Amino acid sequence: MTIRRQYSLPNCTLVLEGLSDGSAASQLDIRPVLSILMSAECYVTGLGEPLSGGREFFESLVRAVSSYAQEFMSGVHYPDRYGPNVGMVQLHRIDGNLHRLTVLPASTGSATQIDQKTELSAKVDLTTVQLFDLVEAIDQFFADTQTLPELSLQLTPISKRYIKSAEPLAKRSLPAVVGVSSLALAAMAFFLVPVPEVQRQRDPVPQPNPAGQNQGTPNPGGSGSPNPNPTPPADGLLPGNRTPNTEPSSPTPSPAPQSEASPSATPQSNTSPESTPSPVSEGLASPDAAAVPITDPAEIELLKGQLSQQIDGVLKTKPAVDAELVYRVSVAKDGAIVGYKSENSAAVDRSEAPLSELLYKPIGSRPPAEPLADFRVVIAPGGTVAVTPW
Amino acid sequence: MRICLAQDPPCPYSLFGMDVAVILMPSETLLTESNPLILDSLPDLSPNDGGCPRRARLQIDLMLLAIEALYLGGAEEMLAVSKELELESIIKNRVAFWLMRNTNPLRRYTQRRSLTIVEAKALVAIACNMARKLTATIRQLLLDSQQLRSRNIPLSENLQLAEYLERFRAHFRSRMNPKRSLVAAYDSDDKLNELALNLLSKLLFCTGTAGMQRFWVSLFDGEVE
Repeated sequence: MTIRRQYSLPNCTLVLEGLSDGSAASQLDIRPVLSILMSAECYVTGLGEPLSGGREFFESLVRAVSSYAQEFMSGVHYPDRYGPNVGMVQLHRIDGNLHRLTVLPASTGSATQIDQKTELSAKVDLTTVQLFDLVEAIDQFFADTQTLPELSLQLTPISKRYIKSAEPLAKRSLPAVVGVSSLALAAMAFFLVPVPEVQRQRDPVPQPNPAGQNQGTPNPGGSGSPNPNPTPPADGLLPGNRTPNTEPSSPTPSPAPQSEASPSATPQSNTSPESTPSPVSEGLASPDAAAVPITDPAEIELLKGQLSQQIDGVLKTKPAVDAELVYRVSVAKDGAIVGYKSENSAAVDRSEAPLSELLYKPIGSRPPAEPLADFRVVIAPGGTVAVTPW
Repeated sequence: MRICLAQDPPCPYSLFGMDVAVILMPSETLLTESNPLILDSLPDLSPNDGGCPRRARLQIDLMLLAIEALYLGGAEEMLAVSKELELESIIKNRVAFWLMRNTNPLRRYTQRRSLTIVEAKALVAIACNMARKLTATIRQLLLDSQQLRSRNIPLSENLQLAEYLERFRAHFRSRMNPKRSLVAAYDSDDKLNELALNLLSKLLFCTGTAGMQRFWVSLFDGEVE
């Protein structure tokens, strides 16, 4: 008994004819299973006679149409969606709204012959709506479990690998090339930039003002390293401990800034005959630059009193001076005179300042940056002392 | 309806003879009842656990946008459909729905998060369900556009078609971020019309027996290993 199945849509009708395999169960069924396909016909509007063929044609049709529908929906073109076997039926996109269905003769169905128009047994251009009807007819056939149950709808997405290889090599390698070349350019640019100098501050004391005093020393600053000059104030305050670096002509044994603080410099300076002018200026200068001045007026007033008392005491035992002497005196918070400097020619000429006795002799070390107050001390020829803040 | 047709092959089937609302297939209601669902008919294809690929998010939102342009009040109807399909556990409310649609990278208020596979399935189910309800309109618009093109008549001549295209353009322009190059490419009415018609024909394929599966699988073309 021949079984006929028909799937009708407005633009397409699919008619299948075949036989049941005759098993008892299917015989008794109201709607027996069509398991042996004899012929398939596909009526498409606009095509005079139906596309028809046997099982091979039908399988090919089903596969090509189903695959093309996926391609249409995703926009991803992949002709070999269901294996490399190019079937008798093929679909090609003409434009957004037209799709060409071609059917090759059963015996010679192969990809190469699609160009030879004479070989084609049928060719029809479907609109999108017609294509949809064809797809729908086939989907209804797939959904029908009583007709060729071994054929069912199998949808699988296309692998990423195929899509990637579809792009030309040049296009795929472009991002990598751009990345590598920009890295190279950046490397070259950085190569031209000079290495930044590392400036490491070894001591919080700012660099003492070397102007006019350190000219003779090979300035370590010139060699690119900063001169932290860690001279403790004590070093500069001891008259016997003078370093020769205030003398322009004196050769300094080592250019390193530490030489000043190192003991090796001390004997050197001891042998140097002219140590007199240096103590005052250096003793005064380095705390001057380093230390914070005392600004509190009450404190300054107190120190002023202490200082005039001290000087008065010293002057009593000394002979009276014959010319007015002017000194700049630095006093620490506790009243100790940490340095002084002659400010007029009479004071400079005087070989022994009356203040030298008062100079604080450090025991241990004083804090390097202790606050200081500067005073102008004027010793008049009459023996009177005037102390005013500098 | 269509299943019944398959059971009784010679019965003639004419789409336009039927009320549009009746086109809802028994097979689908069956799926709905079988809860959670309708979504079971869609295979898990996610390339990784990071949710949906970019193209899928984009495509789903554009399809929903086309439905909105087809049907006034489409957004409300989509929420109603989500209840009908018992998807409330996934789409809890209007805001959640809006956020899900805004995973489209071209949106003005695009979300950083991706769309989970379940959410994507829910949106696909809604889109296909709506498309099925609108089958007659979709077919008619496509046939009209085809006729107008074959005669070289501008698409705006057809009132219904012009209305759809105009609404689609307005939706697209108001919701997509014009700074994105992909959006900027659609700078003319013609290009947007082309996109609208392309989406319309994809919607037609969604109306089919296996439309939902086809649409779902097509979203992952070229995205899986």
